[in-house]
Amino acid sequence: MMPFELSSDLVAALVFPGVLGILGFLVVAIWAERKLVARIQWRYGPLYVSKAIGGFLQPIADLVKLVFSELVLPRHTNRALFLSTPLALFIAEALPVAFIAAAPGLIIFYNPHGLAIAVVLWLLVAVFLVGMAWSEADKFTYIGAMREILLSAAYEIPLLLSLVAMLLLYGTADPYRVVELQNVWGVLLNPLAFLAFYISLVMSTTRFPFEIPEAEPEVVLGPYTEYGSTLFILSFGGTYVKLYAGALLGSVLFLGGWQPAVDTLSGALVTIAKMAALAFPLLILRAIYPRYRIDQALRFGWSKLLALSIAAVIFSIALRFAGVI
Amino acid sequence: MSIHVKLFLTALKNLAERQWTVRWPEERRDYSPAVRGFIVNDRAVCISCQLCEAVCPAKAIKFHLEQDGKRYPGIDWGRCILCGYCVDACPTGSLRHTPQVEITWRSLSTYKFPREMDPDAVSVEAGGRSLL
Amino acid sequence: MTEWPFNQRVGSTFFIDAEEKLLEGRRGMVLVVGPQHPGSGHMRLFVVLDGDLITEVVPDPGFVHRGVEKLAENRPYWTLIPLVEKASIMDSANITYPVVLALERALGLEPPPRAKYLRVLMAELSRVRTHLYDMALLGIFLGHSTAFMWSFAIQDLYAEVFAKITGARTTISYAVPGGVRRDIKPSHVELVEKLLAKTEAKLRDFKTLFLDNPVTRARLEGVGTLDAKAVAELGVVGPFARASGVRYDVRKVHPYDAYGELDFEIAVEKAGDAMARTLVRWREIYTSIDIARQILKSLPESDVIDQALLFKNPEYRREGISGVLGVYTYIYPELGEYHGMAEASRGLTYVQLFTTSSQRLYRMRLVTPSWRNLRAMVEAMRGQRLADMPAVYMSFGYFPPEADR
Ligand code: SF4
Ligand code: SF4
Repeated sequence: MMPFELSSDLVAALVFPGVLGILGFLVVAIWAERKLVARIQWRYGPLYVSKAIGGFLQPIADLVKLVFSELVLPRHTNRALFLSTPLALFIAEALPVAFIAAAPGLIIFYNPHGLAIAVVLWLLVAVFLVGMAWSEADKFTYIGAMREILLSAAYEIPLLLSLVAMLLLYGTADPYRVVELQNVWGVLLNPLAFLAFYISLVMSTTRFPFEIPEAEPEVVLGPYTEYGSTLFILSFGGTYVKLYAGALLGSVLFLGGWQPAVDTLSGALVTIAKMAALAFPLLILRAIYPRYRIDQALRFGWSKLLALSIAAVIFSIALRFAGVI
Repeated sequence: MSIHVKLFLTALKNLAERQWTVRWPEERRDYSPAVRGFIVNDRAVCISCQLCEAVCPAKAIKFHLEQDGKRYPGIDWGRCILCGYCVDACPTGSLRHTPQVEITWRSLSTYKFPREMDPDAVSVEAGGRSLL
Repeated sequence: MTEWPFNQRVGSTFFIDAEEKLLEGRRGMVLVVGPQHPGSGHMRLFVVLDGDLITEVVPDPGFVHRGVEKLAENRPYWTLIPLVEKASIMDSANITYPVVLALERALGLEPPPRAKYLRVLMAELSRVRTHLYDMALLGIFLGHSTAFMWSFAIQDLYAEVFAKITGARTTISYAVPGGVRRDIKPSHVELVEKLLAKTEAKLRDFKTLFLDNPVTRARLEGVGTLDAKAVAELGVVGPFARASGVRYDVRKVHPYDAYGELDFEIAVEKAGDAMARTLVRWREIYTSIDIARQILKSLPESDVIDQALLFKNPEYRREGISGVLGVYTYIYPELGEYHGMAEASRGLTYVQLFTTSSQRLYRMRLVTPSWRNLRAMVEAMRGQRLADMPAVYMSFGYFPPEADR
């Protein structure tokens, strides 16, 4: 491991995996998603803003446009809550990133139990989302919030179990040790855990086919219905931040983190490549699946997914006894 | 499981499909010369029989007196639905469609009965990209 | 649940009162879906929810009522065709069919065989197109944007072919009393053959990605089930009745124009759920393609317009155009009551004309399939989950402009 540089945590907070990484991911992921989905659907996707680079500046133009659009505050809401919950949500979705190392020395807060903290923080996000939906005081947001609660109940346990399986396997939650231990990638050691984790990731970032809380023809935009302008960026962009955190956690736990690189810069690049590989299928899911009904998603979460994650834990324990790691 | 793999492969296969979107105005759709576009009137042939006015379902045609003492049809483009009845009814063939399908005017006052239904005024050629 | 607030103002406590009254001691909610809701179309639905289950749906249609029947009373009979086809623009060849048939009876005209075949060809192409359009909306209502885009792309091929044959992409006004307005050329025959082949090729991937998708099946199977008895009682027509096993198709029961001479089977499903309604229409696409192929193969050689019309004024005839529109101003319908019936894409369309001795009508009665299916759609939504509402809605292919006329 590289010795800590003085300002490495500052670099991590501001550049990667911190603020710049998150904003960059927001832009790139939204652009890539629109472009890929458009290509699958025989369309061009974003194009007219910056034609030379395939409309890459379109999400940025959209962000700028949204910032300058009028912010409507419904009269009947609690304004303080209405304004603050999207911000809290955005920050909460970004917090898990702080405890995960993206490369040797690139971590915002080092803690020997960092990954466990990150997971717990990740699971707390739903609280803010429900609070946000509640403060909007609209029937459609209530329904969206109920669906969010039910859905998070369905994915939380499998997600937790799949991560527990990996932490059990490694015997540590130290963000550096976990990567060092992966001479063989985690996904090969325990594919069951990876599958459970990946499906739970799809559910927790409410991507298709589990895009149930914000199902448009049913509940308009679910918990995000009443927001516009900057608050919409914060609230709706939150799901992409969550995806970012999930991809980072997944690449550290399952894809061997920054291995085989050893120094900070190339390690960061390797991590970025792995995150992109993890996020790619999630981005084109929109073009492949319609959405499940909430009861079907719940049934799936509480039966097959739960069984899969329990099997993953058992498999990890077995591996541990067999002395594989 | 295999069905999900098949779904992904189908989606990825279509990444290579040519875009069907037509990038108007650099690219135009091909509607062939038969398309019912902007209507022009050949005044040398028109016999002022007013059949076109009689059949128009939208009551979009009005006649106006010209310098040569004859009456000619003028179309209110705010009403016209481009059904082509007037063209079909015209016994002399003086009214006809052009492939000009983008019909716009700069101001509200000029699209009502514009006098220039002159066949030479329309320069648009048929043809463009066909999706078939 | 007697009075519904079709005229309630903002700030009314109607819904709060209603919620308390409707579901005493239970946690009910009245959702107002539409007219500006992404999943309502041009209509409003009052949805009473008990938890996630729909206990009652009260539709409030009429947002796109354009008074077609009233307008028809004040204009010459030949202008009914562009008027009626605006009610269902995707289906314009089919929705004007009964009007044309009724007018032919009133005027005593008989189209020549080639015109009959051409009309049926257009009607079948229009049917494929409408089914694709409904499939697209079903896809987007289930969240499948690819199904939406692909269907729309494929149906645009039909618009292109319509433009090449008839001159317009959607509102084609092709059939007129006594024949059709333009003959087709050999190049058009090739064009249609190419169109059908391309449709079939592209629909293969569409089927894999949408109809065979396990998520789609999960969303549609067993949802909004209506049995044959319910369907008959509610007066459902078209593919939605055939999805419940009611074998009724005007094309078979009262064959009009060339349908009696063509060889085809109507698609019938037993299940009666949303999936069956989708599958019936899916199979009808292939039936229509088959019919179109048969027509292209056996297109009779003849004129495309009744000689009786040409006799009135032969010099009206011009290259490529039947040129009869002017003749209509000379002929008058017989005084009486006439009707026309045709199988439009979404079901039976019925027209009744009351003529006067002038060229203007006394009254036109137009019954469109979407209007008849509305009641059944609402019945099928009852007892389903909120998420099933859009699925049932579009499984009926409900098209508000067609229903409201
Ligand atoms: S129908 Fe033709 S000839 Fe008669 S007035 Fe109109 S344009 Fe002129
Ligand atoms: S195209 Fe139709 S609506 Fe337009 S002027 Fe001619 S008859 Fe009237």
